[in-house]
Amino acid sequence: MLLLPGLALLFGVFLAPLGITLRYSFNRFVPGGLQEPAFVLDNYVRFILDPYYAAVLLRTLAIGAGVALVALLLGYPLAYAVARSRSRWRALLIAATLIPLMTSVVVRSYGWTILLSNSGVINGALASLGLPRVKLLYTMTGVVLSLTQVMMPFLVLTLVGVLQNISRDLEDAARGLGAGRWRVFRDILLPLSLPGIAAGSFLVFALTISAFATPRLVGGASVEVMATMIYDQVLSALNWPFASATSIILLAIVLVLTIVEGRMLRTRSAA
Amino acid sequence: MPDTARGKLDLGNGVSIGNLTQWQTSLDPSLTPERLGLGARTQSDRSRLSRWFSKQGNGYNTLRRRLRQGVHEGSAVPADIELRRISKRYGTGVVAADEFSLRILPGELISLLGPSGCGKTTMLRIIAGFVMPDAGSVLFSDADVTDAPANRRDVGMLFQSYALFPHMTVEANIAYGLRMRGVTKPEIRRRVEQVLEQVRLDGMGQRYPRQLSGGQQQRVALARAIIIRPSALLLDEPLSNLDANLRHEMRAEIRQIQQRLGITTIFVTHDQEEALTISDRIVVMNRGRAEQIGSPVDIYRTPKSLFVAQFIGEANIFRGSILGRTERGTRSFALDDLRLEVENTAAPDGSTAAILVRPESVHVFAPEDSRGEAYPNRFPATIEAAFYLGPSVSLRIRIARNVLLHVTQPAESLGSTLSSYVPRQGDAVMVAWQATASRLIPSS
Repeated sequence: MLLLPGLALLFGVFLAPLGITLRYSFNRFVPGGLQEPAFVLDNYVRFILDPYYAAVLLRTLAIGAGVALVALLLGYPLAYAVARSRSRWRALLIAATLIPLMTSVVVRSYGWTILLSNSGVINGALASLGLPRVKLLYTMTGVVLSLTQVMMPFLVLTLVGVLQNISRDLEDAARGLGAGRWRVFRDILLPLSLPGIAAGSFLVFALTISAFATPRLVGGASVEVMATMIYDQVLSALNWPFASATSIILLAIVLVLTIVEGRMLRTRSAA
Repeated sequence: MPDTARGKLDLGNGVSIGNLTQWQTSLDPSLTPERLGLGARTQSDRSRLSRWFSKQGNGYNTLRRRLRQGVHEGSAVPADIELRRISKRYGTGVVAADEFSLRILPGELISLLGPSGCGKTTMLRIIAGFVMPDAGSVLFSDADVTDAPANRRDVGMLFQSYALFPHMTVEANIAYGLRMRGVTKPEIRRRVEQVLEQVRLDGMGQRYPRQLSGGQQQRVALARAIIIRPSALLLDEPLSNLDANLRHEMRAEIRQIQQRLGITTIFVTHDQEEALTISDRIVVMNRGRAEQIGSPVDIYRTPKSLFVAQFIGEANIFRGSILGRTERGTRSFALDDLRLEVENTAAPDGSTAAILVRPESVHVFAPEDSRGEAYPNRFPATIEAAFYLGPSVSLRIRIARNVLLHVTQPAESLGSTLSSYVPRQGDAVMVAWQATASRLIPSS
């Protein structure tokens, strides 16, 4: 009984629209913004056959992987520091980690355009050091950078939980046995935190490939990703069936990866 | 090992190295046998060498590793460990070590005993190299290792949590220290097998830690620590997570292995019984200082402070004043209205003092029993509470309005003394003890 309101909400605002989207994706597009009920694979075929869409998909996945990787490299040391710090510093570090999440995505993204633009803060600093300017705004690098900032908290928080469960004694034991810091990381921390790395990176990856606002604002028209393409299909081309099909493809990718990741973790913990 | 010739090498600054093996020189032509001498087997040679090598920069790292390995082929000589005026204060204002000094002899098992927060674990972690002291120095066989990181100190450590690597098999856990030292695979396999036998875990090498019981896990940890033939073994409350019977068994086992291998061992515990049974010497710690250092018997029989008296064993402590000398060469002692006879002391008449009477030094007689007359201290008293513990009976006996005495009597002797008398609350008895059983505790 207590489940009912939750289930109703889940069905009403999540499953039902999803079902409608799925249904639309098989409709036939009528130029002029209409669709006629049908049951055809036209939209999927179009996506698969046109190399332009494959490029968008690849770009999206590359950005997802890039953000996950950069966030991991930057986030791991931070997560380690949080996991090993004492109460006072800990609260401060966690707060600092979460700040990007508390900022509106639009404000944050416009902030990044100011930082990244050709006459922006970063290029200004480079120029004053006598270094050549780098084009960052409307590039994949810029998109990855700004998405990393907001995605890192998800990774850090996941890793903190895992790293906290790795007793400090294990690191001390390894060091006492003659392992230097790098060996301790490689032999103890890394293998034991692998589930956290996998879960956190995957979370970041999944969130990144469905991100919309930041790729649009920082990437502009030159960095088109799945989410911005779907948006344009809906609002500019008015091609709802194709937008639906694209959405379903994106969803399917995330779904498949979730299953694969879950299975990987299960076999690891069973070993 | 290749044949060796003995020699001694002066590296300047008073550092000399004797006993290096020939193969070490083959790694670096500039290290001629004349410069190096042969067979660095002793701990102090190794420490000096490793310090010297660390000053020489990267080219010597391989050599140093080979040297360590070479030493581990032979039997390690136990280190003596010296702590010189070590101080450590934590940010929160907690003083964990306060000018703490201690010399631990080669092959000795010494316990650091004290309540939680007394600094014993910090001291162990300073010796291990996990914590840097604010001041003072740590010496292993006369070599200053204060600034050496933990992975260069060559100590074996046991943790309360066992700290076995959960993702490695028992074998991989035990082999880890040897792998870090670049020991060859067949040699590792041979020694792992040997050490598994030593801790009675033969055939368990392929299991994972979580498949073992707590006692077995700690034995794996012990094997992992001793296989590197460490210069010192550091034990951080290793038995606290085991149940009572297993704890006694492991205690005996650790002691046995420690004595057989002759490893200098430092044992941190808050359990006084554990410290009394296992140690050569005990350091009773309080607020980062050593309250008393001595053999278990010393610590128990002649505590040098109230803190030690109260921390070790059960204690009756009475404050009063010292009066004149008796004809038996003992002193009188005024405790409220009671007059006690206590051990002799140079303290002047009238000075206040505290005395310690151990519960087991007090004898309980029936009021009319004449045997009580052999004791200078005897008082009619009333039993306030009696607890039967099996081998002994624990009694709370009031000997004066403000004086309550804790007494432990073997259940056997009680029966014979009081002829099948079972002490009950409210019974009148006679308590008696010798003058020497009332020890004066120096006031601090």
